[in-house]
Amino acid sequence: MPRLLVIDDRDQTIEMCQRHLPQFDYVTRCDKSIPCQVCEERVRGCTLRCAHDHLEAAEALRRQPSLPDLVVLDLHFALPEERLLPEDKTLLPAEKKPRAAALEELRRRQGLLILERLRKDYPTLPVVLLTTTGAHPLRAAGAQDPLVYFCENEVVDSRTLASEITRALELHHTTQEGPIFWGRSRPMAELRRQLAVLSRSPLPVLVEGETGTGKSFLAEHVIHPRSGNKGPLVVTDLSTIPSSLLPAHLFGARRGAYTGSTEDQPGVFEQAHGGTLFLDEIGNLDLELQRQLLLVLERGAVTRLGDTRSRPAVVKLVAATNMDLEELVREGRFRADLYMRMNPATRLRVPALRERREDLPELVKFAFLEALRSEPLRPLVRQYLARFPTPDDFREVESTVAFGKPSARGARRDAFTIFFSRQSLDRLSAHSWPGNHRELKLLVMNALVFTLVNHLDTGPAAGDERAPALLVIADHLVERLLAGTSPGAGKTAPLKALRKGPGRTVEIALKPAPTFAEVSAEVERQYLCALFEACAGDLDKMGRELLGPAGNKRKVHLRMNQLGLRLRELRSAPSEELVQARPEEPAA
Amino acid sequence: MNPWLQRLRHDLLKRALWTARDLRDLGAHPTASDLRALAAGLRELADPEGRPIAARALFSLFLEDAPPGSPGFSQACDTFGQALGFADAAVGRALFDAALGPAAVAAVLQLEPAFEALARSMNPRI
Repeated sequence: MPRLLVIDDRDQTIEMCQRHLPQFDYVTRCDKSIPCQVCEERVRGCTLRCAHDHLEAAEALRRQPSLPDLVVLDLHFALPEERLLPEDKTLLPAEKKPRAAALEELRRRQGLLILERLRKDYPTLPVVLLTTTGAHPLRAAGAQDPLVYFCENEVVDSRTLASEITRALELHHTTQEGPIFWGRSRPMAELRRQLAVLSRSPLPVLVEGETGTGKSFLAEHVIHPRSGNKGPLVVTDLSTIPSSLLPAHLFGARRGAYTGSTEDQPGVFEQAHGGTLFLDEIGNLDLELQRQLLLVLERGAVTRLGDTRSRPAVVKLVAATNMDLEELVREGRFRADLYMRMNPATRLRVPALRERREDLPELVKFAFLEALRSEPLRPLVRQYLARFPTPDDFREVESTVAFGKPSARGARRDAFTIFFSRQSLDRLSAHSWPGNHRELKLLVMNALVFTLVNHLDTGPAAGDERAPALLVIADHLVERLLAGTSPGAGKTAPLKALRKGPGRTVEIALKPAPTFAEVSAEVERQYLCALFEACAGDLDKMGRELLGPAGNKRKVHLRMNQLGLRLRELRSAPSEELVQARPEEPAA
Repeated sequence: MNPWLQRLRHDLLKRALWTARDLRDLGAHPTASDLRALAAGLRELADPEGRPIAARALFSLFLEDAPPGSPGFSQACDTFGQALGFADAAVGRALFDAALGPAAVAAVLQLEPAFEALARSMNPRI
């Protein structure tokens, strides 16, 4: 049940909410979980029902083990001077009448001051602000905060308030929407709010953002479906088409219009008529094509190359770029009139992944689960499930991702449980993500592929009766993927693959060395690194593979030390963690 | 809207009408607890400094600061004051006799047209 904190100088708001909105739970300033309306303390004169000012609000929030789902905050607080924000009132006039007027002004906008104070400690807490109808200056002051939802109906009733609360909760808590993970970061909340409006607008939408931030994804999954246009979505990346073919690609061509044009060809504008046209990397267009593009946009019609007949081409244009178009206009590389036609006043900026660090843990979970369900990974997952005995009630859709040390107790028996260490998560948080979501997606996909292949190669341990549905993403694997090297490689040289046939096959890359002894040592070093990876750091297993029944952990460890391979560096985690990582197998 | 009217609507009318609107929307016969909430909307208000005050007394305070209005303004103020009196009396009776609950709700809801008339008298274009 969603929990609300009501901050109001009167108890009427919380009483009305408790009376008429029983679908919500309420934060009170006491430890009782029963509604104030039926609480016996009420008849004894309890005054702890509501947070009546900023201090009581802070106290109520401090007492909670977890944050409420939403704050309902009044704008006007009829309170004595000493309970008003700001605490320092030396700037207020000293004379009685002007001071009274200034205090009254403070009371009328006290909600905004409380909001500002709340934001310092709780930056992601969503707030429904009860404002006066037509209080535009106040609205403008709070409009910069994407997590503030305005309930403007001054003469309010519980039904209106309930619908505002529900809307705010829906917007804030549906962090995931189909294939999109919105998260809770402020830039994404702002983007989501803008998209809700601009998707329905017939005007062009200009989307800016670094490569890999998902600009085309938003066009496909948000802007086009919500546009209400019946026509198709046509996506074209202007950076991938040779400049000589671009005019025909955009505007179409009549047969024989240019060498090799053997049949009439509609351009993307025609194809997208009545729908949405997504032009990626619009900054790459040359000036002549920009002029033609402007003409098409203004006329809503297009003429194919070599033709005289114009054809309708009314599209909702979504243009994306990772360049600064304004800068290009200043440099004369982008037409100012086309830029203005792109509706720059409402341009959207898709935040880079490094600006969404608070969302990263949830994004990582989301990415792992999406990857596990993705088509490209299906053959490997199917192979994995076929290889290991799988319980009848195994339900892949229930798969989960857990952060921390792997433990059999924390793992599900009927679905995959992916364990990802806190250390790796910190490493991801510290990464700058130049490739943004595309990079994260690939990292996650790679991590799953290597982990699944590793399980398949090593096979089930003796006595395993069920699939090791616990997938541990090793820290050193994450580290190496982030470093941009192939995960099979040791520290010394890149390694392409490690396969298991009758024996292990490893590709080894060597640089010239002064002696054969050093060449042999390097070969052994790289082989051991690859085997360490394949055995998920299990030295006993490595020992058995290398030396048969006589092999053991101690011998492998000793040899690795002799070769200068440090376990700590290889796994960037204590060795116990890897032993715990495979609870199905007997520990060394 | 005139700031004085805005304040009156926020500090007095909103509090009084909230419960009445909810009870009207519910459509059921008001219970004793509903009627206590209805009475609180008229009798447990706060003055600018947060001290408890009843709606009629609060309106008197508002009248001291009332801006100059059109010729019909003082008459509209009287009408609104009377509507407040009727509502308060109706709610008072309903507290003793729950059967009078619906009439009390209707009397409180009458504050809304009285307020609109007051607003019109300040600015005939409204």
